[in-house]
Amino acid sequence: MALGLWSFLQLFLLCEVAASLSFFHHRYDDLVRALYNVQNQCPYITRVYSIGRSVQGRHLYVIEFSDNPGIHELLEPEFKYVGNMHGNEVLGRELLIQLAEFLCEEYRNNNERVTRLIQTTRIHILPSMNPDGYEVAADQGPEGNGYLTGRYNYRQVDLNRNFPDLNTVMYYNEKYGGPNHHLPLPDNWMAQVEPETQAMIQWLKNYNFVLSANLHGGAVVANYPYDKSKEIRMRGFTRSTYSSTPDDALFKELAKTYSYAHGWMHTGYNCDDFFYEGITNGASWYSLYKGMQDFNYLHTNCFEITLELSCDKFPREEELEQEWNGNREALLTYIDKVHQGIKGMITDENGNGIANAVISISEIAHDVTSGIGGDYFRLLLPGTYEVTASAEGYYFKTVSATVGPADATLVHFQLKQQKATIESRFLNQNNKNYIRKVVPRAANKRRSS
Amino acid sequence: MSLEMFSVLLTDKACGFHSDLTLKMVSNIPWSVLTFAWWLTVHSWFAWSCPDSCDCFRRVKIFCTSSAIKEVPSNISVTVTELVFLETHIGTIGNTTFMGKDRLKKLVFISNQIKSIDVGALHWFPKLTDLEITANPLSEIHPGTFDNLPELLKLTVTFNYIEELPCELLQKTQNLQILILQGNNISALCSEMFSSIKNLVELSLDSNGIMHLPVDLFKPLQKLRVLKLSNNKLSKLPPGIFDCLKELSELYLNGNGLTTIPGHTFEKLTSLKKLMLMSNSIKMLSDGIFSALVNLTILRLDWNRLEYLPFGIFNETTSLHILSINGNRLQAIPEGIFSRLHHVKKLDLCSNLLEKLQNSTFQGLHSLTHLHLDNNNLTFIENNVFKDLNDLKMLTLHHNNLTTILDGTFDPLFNVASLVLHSNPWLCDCSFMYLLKWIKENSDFTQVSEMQCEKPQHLKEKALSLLRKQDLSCPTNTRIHVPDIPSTNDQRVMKNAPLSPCYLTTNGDLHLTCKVNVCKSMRIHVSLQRESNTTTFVRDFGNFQPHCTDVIFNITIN
Ligand SMILES: [Zn+2]
Repeated sequence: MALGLWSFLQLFLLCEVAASLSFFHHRYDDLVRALYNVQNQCPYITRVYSIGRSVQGRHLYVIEFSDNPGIHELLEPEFKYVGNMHGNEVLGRELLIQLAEFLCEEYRNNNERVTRLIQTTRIHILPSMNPDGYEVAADQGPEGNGYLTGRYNYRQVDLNRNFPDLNTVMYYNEKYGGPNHHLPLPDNWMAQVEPETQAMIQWLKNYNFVLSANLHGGAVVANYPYDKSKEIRMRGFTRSTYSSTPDDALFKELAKTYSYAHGWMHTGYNCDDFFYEGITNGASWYSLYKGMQDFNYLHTNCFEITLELSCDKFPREEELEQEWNGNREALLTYIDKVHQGIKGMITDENGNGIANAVISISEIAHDVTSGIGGDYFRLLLPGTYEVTASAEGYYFKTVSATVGPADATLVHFQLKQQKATIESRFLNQNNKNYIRKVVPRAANKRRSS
Repeated sequence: MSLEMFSVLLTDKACGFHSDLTLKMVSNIPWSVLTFAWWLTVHSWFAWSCPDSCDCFRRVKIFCTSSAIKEVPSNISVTVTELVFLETHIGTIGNTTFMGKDRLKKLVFISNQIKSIDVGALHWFPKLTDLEITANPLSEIHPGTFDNLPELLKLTVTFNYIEELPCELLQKTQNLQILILQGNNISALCSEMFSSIKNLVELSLDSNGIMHLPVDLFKPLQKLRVLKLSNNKLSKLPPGIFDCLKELSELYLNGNGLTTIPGHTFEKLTSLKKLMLMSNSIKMLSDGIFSALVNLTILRLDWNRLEYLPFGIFNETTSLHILSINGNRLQAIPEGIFSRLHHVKKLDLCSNLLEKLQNSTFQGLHSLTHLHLDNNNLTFIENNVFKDLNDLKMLTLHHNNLTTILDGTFDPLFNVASLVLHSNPWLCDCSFMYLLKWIKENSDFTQVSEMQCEKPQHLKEKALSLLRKQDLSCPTNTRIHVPDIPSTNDQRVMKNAPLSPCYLTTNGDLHLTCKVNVCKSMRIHVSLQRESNTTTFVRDFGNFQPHCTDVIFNITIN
């Protein structure tokens, strides 16, 4: 019996007070100590690892929560939170530390919801992507913290303008044909980016993330892709304009999930600004390029939104507890969203997983690919979809799947190997399946319209 | 070597430090060493270098995080104020390892291989405020190890293998405010362990193997605000153990083996805000056990073995915001037991053995927003039970034995946003009409979990979302005008007339309504035929008007 319990759990913890949380600004060493403390308190469900180093040599520490830390379990989705990418936007960093402590504490207290979350999800939390910038900002403290002091990394680079620009490629492909997802990186990408960005991209390559949020400050709104607009030139000046992804409806829903579970984001009136329902399309707010959010969507399987969480980029210590209370439920509910849609195994006739198979949804021109073990995850709103799985050397398969409001619907695919695999590559150009595989979705769509 | 000695004598009082211990203030740093240290300081400005495999920040903070580091590097500058060793293979800390590092304020060892710390190893830090030794295979701390840390505010010795602490270990750390001893194997503590650290604000003994607490252990800690004794092996609490903790605001006793708690245990804790008693084996609580806790806002009694709650147990805890008693064996809730808890927002009674809810059960809970009653044995809910709960946002009743909801039960829930009702054996007959209507009318504001009918058979497993009113086999409750009853013959039998507007209510009442034009008088016959028995009711009605008139009859048979 499908209980549809998932969506109803969201109010469970609203007024539960997390046990013994200490609210203060964590300097680098405090952050490290806090993460290791959680790891020691909850050794069976956590792991602390570093994804790389900052310019000055600080580690970018991640704490992972899972019932089997360190291992990707097939069909268990990977989720991530990233905080403090701008060094002076510190609330995300503190919220993520609190979240880690909370998950551990509540797991130890047999909290049903938290236990279930950890058993069904692999959660990665990176409280600070820019530890060098943070130290600069923290030296100044909340009072007199300039708008930009500590925002950048040590080399004065804005990390959220430092990712390879795939939007331009995508917009070009949209016009002239070519894929609009899983876009390849330029050969020299490593030389183009800062160490923190490089660590992030490497992290994205190592884990098949499904859902993510990037925590910022300076406004209170949930911002979804694209961030970069197609810059419409009107009589000499440019203006920002709504730039939607093929998954626009889903992204809106994800953003609303956070804003409505948040204490006050959904009201829309915050920081002398107004955002209807507390959400905004990135480009329609202001256009930015080389950002992390669009990069996730255009290069990986991960859906990321950007959360602006506080008017003050560096809130006073006394405000932290209230902020945590306002965000706790939203942080948990948003993680739950990783379970919405379809997921399944792509296997060959012998039951072996096929990695890098392509899963397409008719009507949504954005494919996802299967992970190393052959499992895939496709976030979708409730509804009925035509799902196609294809892999090089196999006949494709299409099925219809219905997505409910609750846990992901399982849709497995067993694909038949093409008889003359090698030949087909060169000779069998008329094979419909083959064409489907090599011709990118965007091009397909263009042709048909 | 200069050696100063003096003794302190304090008067004996009920609370506080009350033994006349002789304190030894030892300053055992030789002058020659101090001079040498000064020389090092000066020297270091000319030849500053960061130790291999360490990261140095502004020459004052050093992080060493490499398994290549087998011992504390020798070239650590004396200018350093913060020193962190993380996941190194350092095995010991010797007496001279940190010689001259007198500016150090913070010293942290996490996940190293430290098996021993020499008794004088930490005697070099007159300014040290924060010391942490975590997750090392350290099984012993020698007496005197912390004797020369006069400024120490925070001491964290967690997740090591320490089984015993020397009684006088903390005699000299008199400024200590935070002491965290979580996750060791400490099984017992000396009575005078904390006698000198009277400024302590937070003490954690969480996750050790403590079986008994000396009755005087906490007496000196009159400033203590947070005390964590969770996850130990305490089976009982000595009477009066917390009597001196007048400032205590958080007390964690969860995860022990407590079966009873002496009635006066909490009677002096008037500042207490948070009391965690979950995951013990408590079978019963005495009537007045919480009577002094007028400031208590969070009380958690989950996962115990409580079979009943004494009637007056919550009479004085009027500040409560969260009350959680899930996972016990409660079969009933005494009437009015929560009636003074006007501030409770969340009440959790999940996973008990509750069978019914009476109208007075939740009386007085005017602020309640979350009420959790799932996973009980509820078969019956009286229809006024939620009448005070106008602010309720969430109500969970799933996994019970409910077959129906009486008319009007949910009417007071103006603000409910989530109602969880699945996994009950719902009987989808006419009695279900109220709930079905309520759900359809409130679906814009309230999320209702997916429910299924259990009975009648032809509706089994039918989703409520697909259920229509006409499925409930209820005759419609519309009044039917019975036309053209001839008025000339007042003996005429009204065949078939009032059959359609009759319906059966959830209470078992049969209603009939009809409208008849009566001129003189009318006799109403109602015959109930059941197998061979026939019961007949006869009622007469006379029209005393001078003319014929329309009369609406409402007949109720109960
Ligand atoms: Zn930012």
